Amino acid sequence: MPEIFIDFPEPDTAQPEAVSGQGVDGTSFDTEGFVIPVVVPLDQAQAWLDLYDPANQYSPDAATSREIARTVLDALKAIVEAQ
Amino acid sequence: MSDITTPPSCSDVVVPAHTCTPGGGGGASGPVVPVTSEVVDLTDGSWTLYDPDGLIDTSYGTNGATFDSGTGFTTIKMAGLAVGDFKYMIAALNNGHFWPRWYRAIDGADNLKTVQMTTEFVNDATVTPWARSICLGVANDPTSTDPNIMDGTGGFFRHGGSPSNATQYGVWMIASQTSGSNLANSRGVATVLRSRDSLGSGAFITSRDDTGRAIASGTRNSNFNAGIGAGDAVPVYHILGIGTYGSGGIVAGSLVKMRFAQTSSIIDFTGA
Repeated sequence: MPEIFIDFPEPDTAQPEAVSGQGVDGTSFDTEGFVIPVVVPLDQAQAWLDLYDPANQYSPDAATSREIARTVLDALKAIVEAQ
Repeated sequence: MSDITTPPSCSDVVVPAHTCTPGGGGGASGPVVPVTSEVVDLTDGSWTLYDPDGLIDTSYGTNGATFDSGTGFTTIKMAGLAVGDFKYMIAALNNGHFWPRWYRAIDGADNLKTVQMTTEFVNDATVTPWARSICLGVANDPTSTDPNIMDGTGGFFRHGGSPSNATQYGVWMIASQTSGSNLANSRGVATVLRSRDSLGSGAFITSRDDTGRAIASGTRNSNFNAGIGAGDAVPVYHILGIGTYGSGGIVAGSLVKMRFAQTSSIIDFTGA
């Protein structure tokens, strides 16, 4: 399984931010939330993409989805608990 | 670009290039150039108003603004807006940038130089709030209504218009923003860095009045090189804009009262 990292060494310093921006598909958004930097190592980016088929609504598989979700949610949990 | 017929008299502090002389065991400190910020005065003759849709009440003060030299606060009066639109939002891409803005040249600065601008916003909360957004920064073309030609970055402020809303201080990048939102916010400091035709990125710190201590900090990347052209140098400008928070209108006579301060540096790294 390829790796991803969360670049947030001090979750107890986190503050909600107001963010207005555009997604990669150009869709605008405006919300308050926690900005969580996700780092995909360059040498593993293709490995992640090999596990994903955007035309298949069941892709990526459960194990891959769980890997990404748990990494992000663990970071979110640390940030929220530190509030 | 509209013509500027009167050369602006910029009172910016420009930090000259300097060489670093290492100390030789005597504890000599490195070179530091203390910088005094400029309190922005839109009535000093250096600024030009560009207001394509007439949102500023130009019968008020000087082109819609007054300046209190004792407190450093600027007051701006709005003419009103019956029907809002995304194009009046500083931090929105849809429909362009039609919000009013004041601009002036930055002496000696262009898109290829390393330009660093630090701003401070202090909001006057005694003025009746309305759903507004404000920017103070640098732009390649301040009179363009295309966000990707204006190419603006700088400090940012907005407020939702209700006393129960928190003030937000942060950074503005082209048509987006990131800011700290907190009811205890009193002021925000932001720095944007641009260099070699990149719009670079920005950082901010918000703070409170009672302790004077910081509440939050953050950053935002423009992810954008302006792409004006290999080797082409075009002037860059200071820009101070007033817009809406969302797509709602503006009641005629609404006021903005804030203290704006800035420093801008054109840094020459080739002189070492």
